[in-house]
Amino acid sequence: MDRTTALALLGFIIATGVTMGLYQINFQGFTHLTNYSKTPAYSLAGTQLLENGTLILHITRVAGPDTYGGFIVLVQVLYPNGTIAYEWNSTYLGHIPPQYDIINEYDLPGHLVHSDGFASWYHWASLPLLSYTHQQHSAQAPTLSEFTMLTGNTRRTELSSRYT
Amino acid sequence: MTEIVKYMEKTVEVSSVERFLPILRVTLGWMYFSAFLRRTVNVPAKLNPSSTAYVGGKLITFLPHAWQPVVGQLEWVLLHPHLLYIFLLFFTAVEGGIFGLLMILGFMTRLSGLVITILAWSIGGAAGGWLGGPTCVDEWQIAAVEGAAALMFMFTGSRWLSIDQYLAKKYPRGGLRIWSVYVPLW
Repeated sequence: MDRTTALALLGFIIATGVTMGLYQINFQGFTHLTNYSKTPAYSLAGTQLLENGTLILHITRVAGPDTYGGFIVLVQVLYPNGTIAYEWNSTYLGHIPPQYDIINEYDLPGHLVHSDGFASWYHWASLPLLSYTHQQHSAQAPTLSEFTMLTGNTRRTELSSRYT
Repeated sequence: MTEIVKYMEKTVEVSSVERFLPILRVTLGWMYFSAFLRRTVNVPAKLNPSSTAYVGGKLITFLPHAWQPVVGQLEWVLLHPHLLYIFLLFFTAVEGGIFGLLMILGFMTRLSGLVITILAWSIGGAAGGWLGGPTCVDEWQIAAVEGAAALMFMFTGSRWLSIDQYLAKKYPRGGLRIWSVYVPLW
């Protein structure tokens, strides 16, 4: 085997290996095809409900199509038995003062999480930190057991694509 | 190596095959050079940190599924936006402005092939994995094809219809000698 043949084979093996290898490593294409950008998903890890009724909602957008923003249109705090302790609707969420009550993890001005009169808007945001407080005037703060959030992926599909 | 190069040039079949290489070379170069044009001429907002079109914002979408060792570095860059900006300018220049254009013009095609292979497979090809996770199959497809094509040009060069053709005529022995290995530049 001359050197040209050896080089050609080496190039062939490297290119094919990278292609096939990354296809399996990235997408599990030869076993179980994975694609995280199909369905939007949010993580609430780090969320706290304080004794005084302040909710610190820590939202991370962990999956979903990159080309659309995400919208949080309803936040509910539930008692363990499932009844609603308190809820914030889209009107409220759309008017959270961004300069005080929304803290963004990453300071890219074009990609900040903000409220827009409709809901809280997660443009591109995969890892923003929304720290959002609300003084709840109830005698007793509910125990933090479960949150539900309704989100719409875009304004237009907001009603049809709601999920908890 | 010199003998092989001479052998390749003598073989009619190889040189006739070489005439078909610009079909791919110009398109491959355009994929990179047009990225440069889009960010500088068509949509300058892509390089404007306060715009929603800012390319740097893509790093945020990479975070959730990036390979764990990379997450910390991505976050660090995002927390230092001025460094991210400098990196983007540098990257845009290298990617499109320099090597994409060189590939189209066919000036040191082999070197451009090497650089584009590295760019495609590291930033784009692995983007599905160490950067973005399994989120974007089509971006990965683009990068996989570009990487393989560029690797091919690293080995073949593409003299016909290129600046390399004139350089090869003028300096037939143009190339680097690394230890005892002759590495042709065109």
